[in-house]
Amino acid sequence: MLNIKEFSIIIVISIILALTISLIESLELFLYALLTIFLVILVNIFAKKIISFYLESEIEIKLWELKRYGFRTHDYLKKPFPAGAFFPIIITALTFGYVYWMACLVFETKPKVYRTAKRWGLYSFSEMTERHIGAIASAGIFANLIFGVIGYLIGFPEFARLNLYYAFFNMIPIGNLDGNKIFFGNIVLWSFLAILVLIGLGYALLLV
Amino acid sequence: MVKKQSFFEKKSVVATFGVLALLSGIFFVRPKGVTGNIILSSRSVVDLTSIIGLLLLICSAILLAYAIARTK
Repeated sequence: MLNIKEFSIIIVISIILALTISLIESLELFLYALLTIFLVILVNIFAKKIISFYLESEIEIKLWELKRYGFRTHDYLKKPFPAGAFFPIIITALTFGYVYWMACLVFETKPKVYRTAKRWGLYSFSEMTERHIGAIASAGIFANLIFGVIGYLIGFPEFARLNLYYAFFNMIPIGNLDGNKIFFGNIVLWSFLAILVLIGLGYALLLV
Repeated sequence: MVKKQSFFEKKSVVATFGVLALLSGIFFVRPKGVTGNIILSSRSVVDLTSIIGLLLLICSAILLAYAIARTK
């Protein structure tokens, strides 16, 4: 299900996020954050992989990279900037550890060869539609929200909180993040998810 | 051919969520006992929950506009 490249990216991102969250206060805290972040990312990715399987496609997890810096057609960087690896460190440093940036991973969708055969009828097509890509991206956010609630109910508030943070940052509609895919796939679904994530985040910040 | 309507596109569901977001937004954005004496303390008037409330109000505006614009 996960290839070596994807797994190594997840491990590296988990370590970076755990470092920024724990701020290397103690080894125990770092290891606890590492395990929690790793689980949160796995929940998100497996949900997306399952939904992509049902939509006759497969996804590949990649590091979030910035290629454009402007609106003009030639405003491209010669080499993509690995924003997913550097943004958490930069944001944590600029805000003195007050904000953790957690949107680091993106995915690319490839339709399977039998997609055309299965998507028969009036609109027979083999390419992935924006709507289906948005549905795959939203599955990860849904999974994080559900596991956040479960984590809170069974007594793991930190796991619940990190699930909500991860969902919140991935819902931001910029770059190639999940939020952008959902936003342009189905803006109503994006609004639904944004409302759920924001209410959860507000609850986590105010009451928990 | 009648297109199948998904759960998230039903007018009643969208309107309900819009109202829920509006109420939650008002709850989060409300000033918590802020008076003129705020300048004497170092506390910021705009906190993170206020921003969350503002974002909720924007989302509720999107959903309510969608619900009103739909004919069926």
